[in-house]
Amino acid sequence: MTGDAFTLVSPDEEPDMRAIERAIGKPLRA
Amino acid sequence: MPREIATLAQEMLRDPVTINLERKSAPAIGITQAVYPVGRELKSALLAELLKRDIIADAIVFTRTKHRANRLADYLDRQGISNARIHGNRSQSQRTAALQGFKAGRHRILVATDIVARGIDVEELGHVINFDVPQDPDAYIHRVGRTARPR
Repeated sequence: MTGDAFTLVSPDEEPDMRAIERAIGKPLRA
Repeated sequence: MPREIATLAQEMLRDPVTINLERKSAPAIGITQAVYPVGRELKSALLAELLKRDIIADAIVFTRTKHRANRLADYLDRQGISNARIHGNRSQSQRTAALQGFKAGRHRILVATDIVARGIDVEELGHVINFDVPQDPDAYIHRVGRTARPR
């Protein structure tokens, strides 16, 4: 499969982003 | 199940029973997932800049609320970026027109909220853009899955 997904993350959304990374089992941020 | 759907089910159903047949734990392998750290007040400008670079042919852009979907769609209009919006405050005819226009290529961008987007048939998109980070990881997986397409 292929595809592209972008996520714009503001500082106040960092906790939600961390929860997503935990759920999918890999970091998405450099 | 997204928190909003679970809440809605509790409100509308009597003694609902949940059967979880499948739990996808991650988006399909092969999807490129990129994160852009950005101040909340700069998100619209960053999105417009990305869209103006013409590397994104079509995309569904997810916002957290109906109000934010409207504000973003209005902003994209002002930037000359063709878009349609679909969310819970739109009538069925407006939703149908937006979806048909997007699928037919009359609108490059579909701005959507999660709950409404769950019920629409839009798959194999060029790009999925999370304008707002979803509060539920399942919503993220569901959103991102819409860009999965065969190589």
